[in-house]
Amino acid sequence: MTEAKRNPNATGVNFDKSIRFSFDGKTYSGYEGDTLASALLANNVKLIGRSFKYHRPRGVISAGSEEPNAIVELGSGARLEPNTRATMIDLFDGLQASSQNRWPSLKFDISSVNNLFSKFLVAGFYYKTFMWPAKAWMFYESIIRKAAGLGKATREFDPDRYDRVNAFCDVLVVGAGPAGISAALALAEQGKKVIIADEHSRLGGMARFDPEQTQWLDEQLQKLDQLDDVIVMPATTVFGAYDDGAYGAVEQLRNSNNFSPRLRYWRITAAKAVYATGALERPLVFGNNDLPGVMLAYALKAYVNYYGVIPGQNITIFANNDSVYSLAKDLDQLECNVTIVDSRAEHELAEKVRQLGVQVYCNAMVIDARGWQRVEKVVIQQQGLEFDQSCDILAMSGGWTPTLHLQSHRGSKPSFDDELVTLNLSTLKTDYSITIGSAAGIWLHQDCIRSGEMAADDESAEALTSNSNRTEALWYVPQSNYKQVVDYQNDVALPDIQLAEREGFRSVEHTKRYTTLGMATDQGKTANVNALAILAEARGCSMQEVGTTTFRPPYTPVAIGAFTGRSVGYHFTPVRRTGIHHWHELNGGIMLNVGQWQRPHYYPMSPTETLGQAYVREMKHVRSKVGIVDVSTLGKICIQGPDAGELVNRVYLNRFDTLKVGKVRYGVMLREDGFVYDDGTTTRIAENEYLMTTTTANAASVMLFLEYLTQIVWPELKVHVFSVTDQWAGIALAGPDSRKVLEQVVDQADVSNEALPFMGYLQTTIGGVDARIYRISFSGELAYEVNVPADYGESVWQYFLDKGREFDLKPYGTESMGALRIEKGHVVGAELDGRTTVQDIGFGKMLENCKKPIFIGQHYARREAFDDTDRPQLVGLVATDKTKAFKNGAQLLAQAEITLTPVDSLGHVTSMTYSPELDENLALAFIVGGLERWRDKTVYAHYPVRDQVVEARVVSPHFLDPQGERLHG
Amino acid sequence: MRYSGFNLIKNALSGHKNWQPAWRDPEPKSDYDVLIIGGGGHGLATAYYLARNHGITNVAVLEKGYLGGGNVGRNTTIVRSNYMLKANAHFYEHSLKLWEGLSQDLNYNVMFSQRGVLNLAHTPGQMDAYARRANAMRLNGIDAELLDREQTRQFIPMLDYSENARFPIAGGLLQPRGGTARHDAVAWGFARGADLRGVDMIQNCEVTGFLRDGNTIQGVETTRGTIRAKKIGLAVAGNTTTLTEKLGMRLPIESHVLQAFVTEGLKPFIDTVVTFGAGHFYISQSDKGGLVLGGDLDYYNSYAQRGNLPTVEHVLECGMAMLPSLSRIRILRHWGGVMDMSMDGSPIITKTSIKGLYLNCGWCYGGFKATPASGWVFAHTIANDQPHEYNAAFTLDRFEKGYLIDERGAGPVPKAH
Amino acid sequence: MKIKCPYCGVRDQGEFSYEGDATIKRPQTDDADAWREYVYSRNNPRGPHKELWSHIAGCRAWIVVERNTLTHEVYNSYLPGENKDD
Repeated sequence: MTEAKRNPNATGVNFDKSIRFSFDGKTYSGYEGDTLASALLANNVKLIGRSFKYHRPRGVISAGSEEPNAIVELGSGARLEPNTRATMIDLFDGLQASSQNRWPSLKFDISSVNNLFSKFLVAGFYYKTFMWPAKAWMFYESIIRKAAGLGKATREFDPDRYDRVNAFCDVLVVGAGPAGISAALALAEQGKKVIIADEHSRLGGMARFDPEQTQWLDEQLQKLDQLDDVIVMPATTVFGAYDDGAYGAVEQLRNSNNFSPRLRYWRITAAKAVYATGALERPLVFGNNDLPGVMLAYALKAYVNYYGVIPGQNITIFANNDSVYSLAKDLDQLECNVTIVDSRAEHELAEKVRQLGVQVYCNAMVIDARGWQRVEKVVIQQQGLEFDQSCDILAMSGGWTPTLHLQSHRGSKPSFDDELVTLNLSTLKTDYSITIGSAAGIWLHQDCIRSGEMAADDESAEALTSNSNRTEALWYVPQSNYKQVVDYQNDVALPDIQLAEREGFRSVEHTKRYTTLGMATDQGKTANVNALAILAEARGCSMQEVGTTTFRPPYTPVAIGAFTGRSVGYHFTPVRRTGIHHWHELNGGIMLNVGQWQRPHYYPMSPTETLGQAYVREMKHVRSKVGIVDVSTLGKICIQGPDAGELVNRVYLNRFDTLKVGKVRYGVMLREDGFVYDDGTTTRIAENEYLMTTTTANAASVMLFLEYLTQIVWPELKVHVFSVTDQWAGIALAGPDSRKVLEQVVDQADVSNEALPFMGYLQTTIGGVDARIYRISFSGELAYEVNVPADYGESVWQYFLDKGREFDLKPYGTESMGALRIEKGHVVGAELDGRTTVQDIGFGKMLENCKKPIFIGQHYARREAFDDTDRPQLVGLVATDKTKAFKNGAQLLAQAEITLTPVDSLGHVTSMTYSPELDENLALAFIVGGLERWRDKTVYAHYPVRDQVVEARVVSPHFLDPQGERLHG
Repeated sequence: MRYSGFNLIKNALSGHKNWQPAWRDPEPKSDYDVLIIGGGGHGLATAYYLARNHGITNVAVLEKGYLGGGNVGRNTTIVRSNYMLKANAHFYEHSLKLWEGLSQDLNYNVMFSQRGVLNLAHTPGQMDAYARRANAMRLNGIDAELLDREQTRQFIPMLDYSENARFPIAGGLLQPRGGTARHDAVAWGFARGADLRGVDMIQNCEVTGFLRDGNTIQGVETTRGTIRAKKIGLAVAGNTTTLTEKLGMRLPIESHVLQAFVTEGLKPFIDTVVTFGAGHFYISQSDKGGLVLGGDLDYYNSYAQRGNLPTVEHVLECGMAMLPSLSRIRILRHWGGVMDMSMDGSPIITKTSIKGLYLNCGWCYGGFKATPASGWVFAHTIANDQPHEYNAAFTLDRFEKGYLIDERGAGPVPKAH
Repeated sequence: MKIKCPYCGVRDQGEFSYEGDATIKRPQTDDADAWREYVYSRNNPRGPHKELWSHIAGCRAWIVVERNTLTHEVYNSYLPGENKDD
């Protein structure tokens, strides 16, 4: 295939620098400044893609982001990018592109037979069939899914990086055409900080394509360049407008195959926005208006004047407005044969170009385009006469539509302007934005510039809005014999819209959803207005009455990677490490995610030791000797002030006003709806200072709740709360030898049973480091919890191990810590799942005894439903067969077999362990009626998803040392 | 005209000129037996089942905009019954069973695709919680499978099983019978079915006030005139309190915006529904090829049907953490729906203290999958003036009495459900 | 959205946590209706709404924000008790 003729005067390409690229495996060359679309046209490649449904051959119709047809797969392997608009890809060396949605090849696509059946594949056909037999849908669906979709996406992980950046300015100018540029310059002159962004890599908008404006544009761009307070952002699409001056923008950084970061996502905050977003040319709806070689008139102008590609010699222009006449002049000068088919009556402009030798048919229409995979001729109708005209390019212009997406994101509704024959905004100004240039229905170059200058003075340019581009409505050509496409990419044709209306889908939203109009990757940028008009006609109502659908962000599709920036992979969310983390890692601790925290799960003795073996070994060690576990992740809240005690007393269910300085107490916290919220210990550090601990999971929410109480509910309390979770490392020391170890590590203090009894507290030093020692026990053994400043966590931990060596002190992990507490029947998150009451967990007495006038949950903790004996209550389970272990999440039934479902479960297993001490398999569970109904009875813990059942005896949940002799020892 | 392949071909040959409207566009009458306010999925389903199950056909559905314009047309189309608590489990399973025959019952292809719904777990604790739920589902007669890491990898190998994952996948809860449906078709199918049975669908008809005689409802004032009825059912999701305010009722409901996303159309990419377990994200692929993504609320009361960037970023970060190959796929559109978040995350389908007024709300995220069953039991409640066994627990007084149905255990904080 | 924290100035919504209806008041008696209103009932207007936000990633002040739920426009924000209407 020969190359197309090129225009040596083109301003947008550098003919000295050629670039090689490939399309569908074939190598071509283009020039620096080309887009993939212009380079393909220059190589005479007109067939670039296939349509979605009927696989009709398609070529480039635009020179911008609205392109519905020329979408390709870019790159390959992990860098494959489907559905990329050829009109928006700046050519780079080694660019690889291929056509999509075709098989086996673009030229011979088997699925193009769909076109023959298009009569049956009308809008909504799938709602009416594929229903029999009922089970067959999954089969039909698999075929439909394969046929649907456009490009292929890679399943490989993306090797490229993305950036996320914030920017702030006084004014954000969106669009750098004549209006936007003049607004930015005028604003800068007033000393405003301006960001001007344009989706194209080169600024100028439509002015780029007009040789008469080249000089003006160069001058303005130079001026912009010299201004420090104007940030110019080419290749940056402002894709969405959000609340309070927040805008999303994405900057395209690709200029090679592996440029990284590939995209940069900007969160721009602007006090004001100037929307200079331009206008989009509309296609005309005639037969075969989608043949390759049919394109928008402005696009032809862009290719000829800017990219220097003259894609045909015999050019027909079909239009209903004035804007195409300058194109005819440009083409004439390039010695093309030009014919204009104008649907309007004779007018002066037509006469003028005739004098140049251009053929103009007025009162005429192109009814069909014809040709095999590219336009070869058109059928023209003028005053009842039909005749053919051969051509290799058909340019069309159905008028212009202002681009109003960003305004629409914030709720502005455009309305139809009969005079301008287009959608337009009724008010160009809002509190936060002003719309100028062609986006405001202002067509002339000078007026656009003026509107930009006015915007700098916050003046709206309604007066400049005029029908200076005379347009007469022509929404479709009724005489056509072939398919008249309205929405190119989704293959929505004229009869589809008419059918939708006939079937009652008359609301514009129904029409959209029923026909899929405007739902392709271009969001119907070229289709919407024509479709609204066709619908209005079918309904017999005005365009105003039809209304519009809502534009949704993003303006053009944005890669998901851009939104996520570097917050991917391991950096998805921050990792919280305790002060002792490093030691665990160095010493073989297996770490486990607990929310954002990482905690040591267990410490295997050898590479082959399993979790099951390790935790039992660690349990035995604690019960027989002594161990330490990192408990730094517990929430720690410091409460200070004269009313600190009062606050603590109100927050917990049980009494805290009687707690003495230097003492610790276990507390249960309710929610206002009466269910158990959290539990933990609180220590009275000093007269007016308490340290509250929470569970790891609820640390943040309890803190927030206390802030709510102190700032909103009880602001009169003289108390202050702040989180010290991260300030203290926590080490729990447990086991019969724990006091001996403690004696070794404390610098001076007396830690005897008398000096530091159970639930006592001591402030001292360990190895010279400030330490707080609480005599509390989670394991049921003689135990202590030690807090030291977080930065000393690791060294104090090591100090413990060194000093405790003679007592065989060993670390233990969270698995054995959890198992030790199960033996004691202590509840944790698995039991306190937000649905349990104090009665359910056996603390009903605590509520009965509570006489406090004010406490959280005071009203709803005592309600009839909570005393219902059919509520599941905490019990212990012992496996009848010692060798059978329970599983968490097993459901309890009274029978061994599940014969019939549905069957009501009696309860469930929350926590299980093997107890080396008792040599039994144990579990904590909730069961309807609790111990009272089930003590010593047999139940079955069913785990049907693994087809397992464990027979069990119901016992008290306090399996070990129920009198607590060990911890008091 | 019945929909079938045969009729499609027949009509194609006559240029599709003979199709009848899927529903009439009647003027409202002055009087009906039952008015359903809200022409969304639940309202239309209620009207359909009133006619189909109870023979009550002198019914009008009043819709302020266009049929199916609310959440039924802007959700992420997931259908499942993987609930743990008994009341929810029975209700949603009833719904799932209705889904399984819905296309045939409605003679309208709602494209119910039982491609499976997989919830990922990332910690042992989460696996335990899923085990509890899966076992409960089995006892309730609902299909459920608990997958370990390897089984999950075999089921869907494209997720992030690498060392680099911040929250490695531990396994998942799979409901094979769950899946997706074509959301608009559900609204249209119910509307057409109700219309064929004589129900009037009145669009562009906004209710502006209520007529009552003491404690008895008598009708409504609308933008298209006064319409009287003995019984009125409210099925207006996020706008419920806007209407009940007019009656002086306050509800345990907050309206929040939930965003949804669709990507550009792609050839088959993901064949099941997957939800992330270490953040809020779910994904499926529509039959047309777009990936449909969703996440969590924007976390503030809103009626705006649009959200903001912080949530967009958060949702997509979760998506990338689960499925890193999303990176180069592009978001085509994102929008918001208004969720009627209840105080325990479960719905309210009940009669009220006002005689003849019935309430259907509190759907949180879960409204779409509930559509058939919601219509079924709401129609029953209206027809019999007492609840069906499957909505007996979904009362308004359960909050005060303490019979909460709190699947997440999050307490009386609407945004937390 | 942007919210003005009385202590820290105008900040992005990402720094704040929404905490719901600002008009509910914890009852001082055991009145069942009052408790139901406090724990389970909420103002849920389509339009201006008085609500609590916590400046959770900032100074951690709880503030009252007057905001429109339909347009997301923030009218006003202040510390609890600072507004005469409260």
